[in-house]
Amino acid sequence: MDRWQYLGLLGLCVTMTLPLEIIGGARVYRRPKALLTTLAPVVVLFGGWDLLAVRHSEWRYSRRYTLGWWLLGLPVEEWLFFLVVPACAMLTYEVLARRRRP
Amino acid sequence: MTGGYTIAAACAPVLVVLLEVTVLRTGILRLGRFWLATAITLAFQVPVDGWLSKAQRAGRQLPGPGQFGGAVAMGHPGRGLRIRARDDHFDPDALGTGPGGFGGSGRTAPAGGRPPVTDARRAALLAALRLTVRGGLAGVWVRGHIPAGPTVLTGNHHSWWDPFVAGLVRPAGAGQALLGRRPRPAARRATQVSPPGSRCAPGGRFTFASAVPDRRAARPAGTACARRSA
Repeated sequence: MDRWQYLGLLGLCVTMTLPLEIIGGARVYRRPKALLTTLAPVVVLFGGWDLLAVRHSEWRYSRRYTLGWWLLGLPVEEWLFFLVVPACAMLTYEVLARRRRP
Repeated sequence: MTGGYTIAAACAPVLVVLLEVTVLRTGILRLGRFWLATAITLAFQVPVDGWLSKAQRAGRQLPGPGQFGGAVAMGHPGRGLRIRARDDHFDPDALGTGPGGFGGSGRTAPAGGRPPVTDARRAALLAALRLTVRGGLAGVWVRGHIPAGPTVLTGNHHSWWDPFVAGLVRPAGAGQALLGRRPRPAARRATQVSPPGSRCAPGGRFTFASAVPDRRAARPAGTACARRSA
């Protein structure tokens, strides 16, 4: 079960913030084009940083807590992190922005 | 690239602010809800990331059996290299003790060789060393057998604990030298020994080498190791 820990946590992040979109009225997932445009620089910049850091052995990924599927030099979970976490942040921001607009 | 992450992490927000002020000019930094959203994200991010970033387990720091003639693993409780007496990496062959205390029972007494200082000053010094190390380190293990006679300790990373641990591991030791990660040729000549040979795997540990009188010129195995760790 340990191997699912990282992916499971990401799933939890998505699940817990989903009500913000459905009930809270944040329009993040409903604007996929805007979402992808926002995520693209995050993935490129921080993915690049991550790759560099791994190359310099600043950190590494535990085989115990990841599924072991690697993509372009990083675990799949790490790439998903750069999609999930910014999306959660955007949902938070959008919900707060929503409340101001009638 | 020690500290590289810290530097990059400190630069990132500065760059973002500069980008916003000079190029993007969206005005988002003046919005209260932006800072509120940032604060909420941060409040989740810190515990989640903290949980994700597992502390490095000490077990990884211990060399596998047979990898070294002998090795000391040491850790600092505040730096993620903690070494504790846990079942998952308990080493029955290890000399020395865990957090329970430092053995002064002569387990590390060398075969032969007389202690360099035999008076009360030595006892006081060792007691102070023991106190310092016990207060600062979670434990020190010696795996394998420290060869009798002169010993060279070569740390593959530096810590100010090195001499303290070295002093305790061989409290009554015969000749002992503590070299840097890359022993300078002059130091090698002075100690007349080679750096440890074949393996310099990364990790917080010392490698021990029997003091091999190096009557020939620099031994290739040793120099290769020194180069690789650069």
